Amino acid sequence: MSLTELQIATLVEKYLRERDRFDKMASLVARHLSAQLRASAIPHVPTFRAKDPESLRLKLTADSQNHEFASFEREFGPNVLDLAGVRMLLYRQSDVEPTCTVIEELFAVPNEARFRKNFVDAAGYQARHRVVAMRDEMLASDSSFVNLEGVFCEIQVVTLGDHIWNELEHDIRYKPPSGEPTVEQTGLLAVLRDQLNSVRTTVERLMDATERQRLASLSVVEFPEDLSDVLKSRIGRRLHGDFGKLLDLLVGALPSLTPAVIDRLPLGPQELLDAEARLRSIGFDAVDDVAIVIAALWPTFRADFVEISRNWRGRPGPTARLIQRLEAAESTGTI
Amino acid sequence: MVQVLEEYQGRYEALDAFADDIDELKWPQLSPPVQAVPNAPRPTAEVWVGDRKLRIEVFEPQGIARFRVVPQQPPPQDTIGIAAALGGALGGAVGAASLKKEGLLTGVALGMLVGGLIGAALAPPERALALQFDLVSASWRLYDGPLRAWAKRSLIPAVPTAQ
Repeated sequence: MSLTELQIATLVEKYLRERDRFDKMASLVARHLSAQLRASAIPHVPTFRAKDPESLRLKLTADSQNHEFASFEREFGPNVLDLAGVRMLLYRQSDVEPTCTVIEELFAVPNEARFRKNFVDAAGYQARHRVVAMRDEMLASDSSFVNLEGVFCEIQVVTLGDHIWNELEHDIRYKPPSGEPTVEQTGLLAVLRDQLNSVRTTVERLMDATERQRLASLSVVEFPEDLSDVLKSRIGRRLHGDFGKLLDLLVGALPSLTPAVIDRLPLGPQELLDAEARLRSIGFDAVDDVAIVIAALWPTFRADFVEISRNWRGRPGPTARLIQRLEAAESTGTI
Repeated sequence: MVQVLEEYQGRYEALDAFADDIDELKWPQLSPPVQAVPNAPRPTAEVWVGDRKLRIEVFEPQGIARFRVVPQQPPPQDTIGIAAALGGALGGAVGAASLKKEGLLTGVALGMLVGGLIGAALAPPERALALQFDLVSASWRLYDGPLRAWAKRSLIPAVPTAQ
């Protein structure tokens, strides 16, 4: 069975009537993800859109052999997964993996392989695609989210440099009538790919230099990005995790948060190793760098961290759950 | 004040507050026994509150009063008023506190728990926890609102908390 022209037109009509839901889903996913990336000190540029109806028609036509009309009866998903779309443009290649981790923590990503695609061809298209749905607790948190149940959103994670190549290549491959690039276009795409690969290194070095300059003049740590940079300087490598919540804990517990104060915190190599072991010993499964820092500071700040995190509004996130676990483990004598 | 300091006993030594937020300092009519502490580094008085003794240290230029519970002793025979015990520093501190708040923060009383960490390493990191006085429950509660950073800058005198 395949989709007929009339069935495709009917589905596009249905999509036009429901397009608001996909707009809302894309906007919501972009907003939540962007907030969490900010808290994770990952510089990014978010964009989002609901798929253009003509683009849907073309897609269904191209894939008509693979679909049955009846399977669209309730929802477009999981047949079509990109009606709501978000693109997170990153500056640093090294932020790609941490961004995917944030996505997995924030949203529900089904297990099947088609919901998680890594395009890593060094000579071609480079991006990570994740198809997400809202988690049940997020859907339940606001009555206006009720019509987002069963709606998927495709998130593309890509660096700004790779985005240039991807867009140009897409235009060449999919827009000309022949669908085949000329020898000249293929050659220029290969040159551009090489140049963009070297741009990555320059971007990373430039951001490192800017970070060093900012650190040199930083008197008070006020933003997650600053905290991430100061901790990188203190510990010797870039950490990943929710710096927004860590910042709240430290600002709440310390008289002032400056690079000098952070330098005096018990975050030496052995203290971090002990902290990681402490987390493993209590079976905490979401061990990221920030969780290790919190566990390292736990002996000194436990009561303050517990009190501050209890004041956080909304459902407990990963950091609040970590503190609850540490508190419970301590009360039972596990740590 | 005694209640919150006892609640946090072992975690923090003292509570710093703006002098003009404390009615008993702003309108100095404390009825419990009060005694001046001579030879203290800054104007200091001790007040008997029930069966507890509270030491009040005034940082006049900053407009801050620091409160801590100290070991109990029998109240003195001859006591004086809090204004007399603290001298002109009290009025100066109340005025400095009002100035610092730029005429704002009416009805908002902020405090800062500072110092002390029993069982800590030799040089523990300094800690400070912001509190707000909740008029409804008449108790101090953790504060994590937008005034927190300002309060931390404004409410911590640049002197150690050690007695």
